[in-house]
Amino acid sequence: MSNANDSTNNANGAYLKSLHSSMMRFRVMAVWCGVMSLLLWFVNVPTHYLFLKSTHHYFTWIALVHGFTYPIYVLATFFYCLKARKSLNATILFILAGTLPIASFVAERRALKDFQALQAK
Amino acid sequence: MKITKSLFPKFAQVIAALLMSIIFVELGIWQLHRAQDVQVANRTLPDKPQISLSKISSAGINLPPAAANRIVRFRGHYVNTYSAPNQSIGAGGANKKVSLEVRLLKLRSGGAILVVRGPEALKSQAIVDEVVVTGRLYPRQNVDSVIPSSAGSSILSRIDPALVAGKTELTLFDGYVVARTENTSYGQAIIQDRIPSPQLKSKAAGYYWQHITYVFIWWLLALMVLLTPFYNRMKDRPAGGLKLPASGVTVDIKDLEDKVGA
Repeated sequence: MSNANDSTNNANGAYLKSLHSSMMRFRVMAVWCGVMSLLLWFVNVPTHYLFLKSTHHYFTWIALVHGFTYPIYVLATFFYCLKARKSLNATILFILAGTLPIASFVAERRALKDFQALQAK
Repeated sequence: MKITKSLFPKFAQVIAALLMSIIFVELGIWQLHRAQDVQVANRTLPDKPQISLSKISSAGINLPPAAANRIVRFRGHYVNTYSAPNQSIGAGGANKKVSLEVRLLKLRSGGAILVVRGPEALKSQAIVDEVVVTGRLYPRQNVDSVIPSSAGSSILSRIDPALVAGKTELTLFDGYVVARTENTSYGQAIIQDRIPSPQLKSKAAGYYWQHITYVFIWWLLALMVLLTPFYNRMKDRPAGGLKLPASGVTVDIKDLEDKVGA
């Protein structure tokens, strides 16, 4: 009986550790994508189409960096959602959150809250 | 019968995932083509042979896309002189701002066109005889280099025939020409400082690497969509994919959570 409890505790600890790693990867990428999305939506796009158009060439790197790092966010999110047993719909929403400036910050907070709730159990 | 019922939704899911992934792959291919277009548009091509302006464009119509960037030749009389201040000239990569002398030339063959002669001089040259001009044809500018309200009647806020259309009864050619040479009808060259007239690069939207990132994203999404029919199976693996290496025991996390909760 004691052995079975030890085994369960070990498995639980290992699962939480593994989930924590996935979650941290997701959180880092969510914050990164959130910052890049803010820059994209409020600096890159306005200078391309709305105002201060002559300064746009200074900000072209934003779209490039966001473009190259968003796939990393997608992968980090997918593996986090798998590990956290999120539904398919939730996974899709988490992935799409990387395209909106504020949504990825919300997703990052949500992931942390979920993990803390699971840890408290 | 039961098997058919349970298989049908799975089959529909696989078909839907396949269709979506095909769409995403196609979107990736589209972006790849856009990247190639941008690359081609930014390449400097050898100039085509000099051509008469009236052969590639006409007064009163929009500039045909194929006419832009061509070296053209035409003859006529200058009828008006304007100044285009604060114009960028990119000689040798430097972005220098100068005032340009722009004249309206009435063509012998009919119509009129704006000709950029060069940097504005303190004393304007009086040219009354017929001149033969060769230069590069550019599309009209659409961004003002000075505030239009501050521009006087002889000041052009941008080099655009629309700005002089109300001041002349002549039918105007679209676009403008940056003169490379001017000769009198007797063949004498008119001495004047010129500005560089490089080929205008096409402003195809975006940058090469930007489109390549989109290719990567679309194809990654296509791959992930293909995984969606198997998502629940992947998710429901024992212990979320956890297999304890030391003991070799595989644990069902739902069962585990129930136990912890209890």
